[in-house]
Amino acid sequence: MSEVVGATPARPAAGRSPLMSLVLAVGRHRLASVGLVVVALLSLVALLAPLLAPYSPYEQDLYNVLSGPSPAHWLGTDNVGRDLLSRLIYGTRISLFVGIVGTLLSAAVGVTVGLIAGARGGLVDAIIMRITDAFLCFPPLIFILAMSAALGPGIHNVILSFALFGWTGFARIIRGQVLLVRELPYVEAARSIGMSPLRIMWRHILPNTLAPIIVAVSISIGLAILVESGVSFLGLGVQPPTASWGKELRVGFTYIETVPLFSIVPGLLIALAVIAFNFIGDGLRDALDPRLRGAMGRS
Amino acid sequence: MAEPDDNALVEARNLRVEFPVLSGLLRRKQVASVRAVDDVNLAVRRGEALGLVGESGCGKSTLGRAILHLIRPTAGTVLFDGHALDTLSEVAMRRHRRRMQMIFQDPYSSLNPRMTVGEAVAEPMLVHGLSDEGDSQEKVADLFRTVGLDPRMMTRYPHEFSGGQRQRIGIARALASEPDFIVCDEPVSALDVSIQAQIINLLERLRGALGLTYLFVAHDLAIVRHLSDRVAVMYLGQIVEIAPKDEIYARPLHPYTQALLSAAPIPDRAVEARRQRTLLQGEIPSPLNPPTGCRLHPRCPKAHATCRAVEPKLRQLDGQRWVACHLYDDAPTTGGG
Repeated sequence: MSEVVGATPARPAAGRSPLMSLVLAVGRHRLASVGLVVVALLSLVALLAPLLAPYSPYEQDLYNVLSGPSPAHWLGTDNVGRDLLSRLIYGTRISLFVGIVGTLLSAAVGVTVGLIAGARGGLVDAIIMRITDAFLCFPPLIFILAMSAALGPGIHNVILSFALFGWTGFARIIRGQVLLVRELPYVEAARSIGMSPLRIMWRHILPNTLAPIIVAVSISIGLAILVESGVSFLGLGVQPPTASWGKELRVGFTYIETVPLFSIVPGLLIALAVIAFNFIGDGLRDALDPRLRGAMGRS
Repeated sequence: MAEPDDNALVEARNLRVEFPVLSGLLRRKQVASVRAVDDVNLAVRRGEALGLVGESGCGKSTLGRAILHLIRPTAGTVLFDGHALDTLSEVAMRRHRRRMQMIFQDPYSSLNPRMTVGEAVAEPMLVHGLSDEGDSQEKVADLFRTVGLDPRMMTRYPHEFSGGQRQRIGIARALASEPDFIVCDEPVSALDVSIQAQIINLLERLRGALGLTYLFVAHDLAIVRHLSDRVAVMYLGQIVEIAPKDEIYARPLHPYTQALLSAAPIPDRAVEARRQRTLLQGEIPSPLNPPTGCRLHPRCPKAHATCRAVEPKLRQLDGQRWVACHLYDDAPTTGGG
C-alpha cells in the first residue's frame, strides 16, 4: 500500500520526558500549582534550615521567655526562651521527613502486597484482604497512637507505626487496579505475543495501576504530617529538645492565652502543608489520565 | 469426527472450552458449566483465510482464543504445524507464540495507553529476541510503512490516533514477530464502514505478500466473503457447516447458514423482493442449557423427529463441503466422513 495515513497530533510532539510533562500538567492545574509552590517552599525551608534560621533551635535567651514578636525574635520565644521561628524552621525538617518517609514506606509495602494479592488471586488474595480489613477496623489515629505507645516514643517509631497502618490503603487500591487491568485486552495482547507473566506484570499491569497510587501518595504525605503532629502533641513523637510542628503546637497550647502566636503559627503550618499536598493530589489525578493530557495541553 | 487435512497448518481436534458457573456467597461452588466451544474439529490450511461466522455469543471468539491457547481448552487438542500445543511447557508455548498471533477487535483497549506505539510494535521482537534495542527502531519503521503508517508517528501514544490507525498499529504488532498464522478477531467490527474496507484490503494484501494464514472471525458475512477462501459457520459452540466461499454463498446447505444469508440485506430491490428467505423463530437458546439433538431444532423451520433426538455429526458431502444436519443424512458421503 502506498498511501500513508496522516496523523492529526493532539499536541506538538515535543521531546519532553514523562516526568517533566507531568510536572507541567500539574502546574497548569490552578490549585495544584498553589500546592506545588507551597510544597517547594517548605522543602527549601527544610533543606536550608541552618541558613534561614536566625538562631539555633536550642539556643536559650533567658531574658526573653514567652515574649511576643519582637525585632530580635520575629515570632517570639517559647517557654524556655528559644526562638520560635528557628524552631519551626527546623521542625519543617521533621514534619516533611515523617510525611515523606512514612508514606514511601507504606506505599512500598502496600504496592507489593496489593500486586501479589491481585495477581495471585484465590486463597492468597482472600487472606491478604482479610488482614487489611482487620487493620481497617481500627480508627487510624487510635491505631497509630497505640502502636507508637507500644513501640516507645521517637520519630522512627512514629514513621514505623504510620507505615504499619498506611500500607493497607495502598494495598487495597493496587489490588483493585490489578484486578481491573489484568482483564484488559492489551494484557491479553501481551500474553498473545508470548511475554512472561512477570514481564507483563512489570511492563503492562504495574504502570497502569500507579495513577491512583501517586495521587494517594500525595494525600498520604499530608496525612502523615498530621499524624506526626498529633502523636507529638500527645508527647509520643519527637522528644525534647527536638522541635517539630506538633510539639510546638502542644507546648504553645499551654500558653495560648498569653502568647497566642506560639500555638497558632505551628497550627497554620500543619494546615498549610496538609492542604498543599491534597491540592497536588487533585492535580495529579487529573494530569495522570493520559486521555485528559492532550485536552489539558490545549487549554 | 475429524476433518483430515494433510495441508493443515493449524488443526483443532475435538476442542472443547467450558466456563464454570459459580454460585454461592461465601463458598463459591461450581453449579454448572457453559460449553462455549463444544467438540469442534477445524483445520486451517497453509496460506488460506478461513472465515468463522456466527451470531454473538456462539463461541467464535472463544474458539479463536482456544486455538491460540489464550484460553486453555477443557478438552481436545490443537495441532500447530504438527505440534500439540497442550503438551508444550509454559516456556515452550511462549516461544511458539512467535508464529501465531492475534489481531484484536477493540483497537482502543488492545494497546497499552502508557506505551508509545513504537514500543508496542517493538515488543514482540524484543520478547522473542528477533532484534535488540538498537535495530528494533528500524524494523518498527519498516512495519509502520508496511501497514501504511508514517514511521515518524512511532513516538506517539495510542490516544493520539484514530480507530483505523490504531488497528493498523495492532496489525503491525501482530506482524512484528514474523508469524505464520494470525487469528483476526473481528478486526473491523469496531471501525467506521469507510475505514473497514481499508483495513480489509490491508489484511488481504499482507496475506499475499507475507504468505500468512488467517482465521478470520466475524459476524459480518460480506466481509468474510471478501477475505476468505473457505467459510465455517458456528452455532451455539458447534461448527454446523464448512464450505468454500463461493459454494456457501451460492448454495448454503445448513438451515442456519441459509437463515444467516437471508438475514443479510441485498442492495438490489428486485433481487431482494424475489428471493426466498429462511427465517428462524425465537431467540438463541442459553448455552447453559442447550437443546437436545440438533441444537438448532427449536428454531429450525425444517426440523423433524430425528433432529430432536439425535445430534447430527459434521459430515463430508461432495468435494469440500461439510455439514452437520440430518437433512443430508441420505446424501452420498465422500472422503473420510
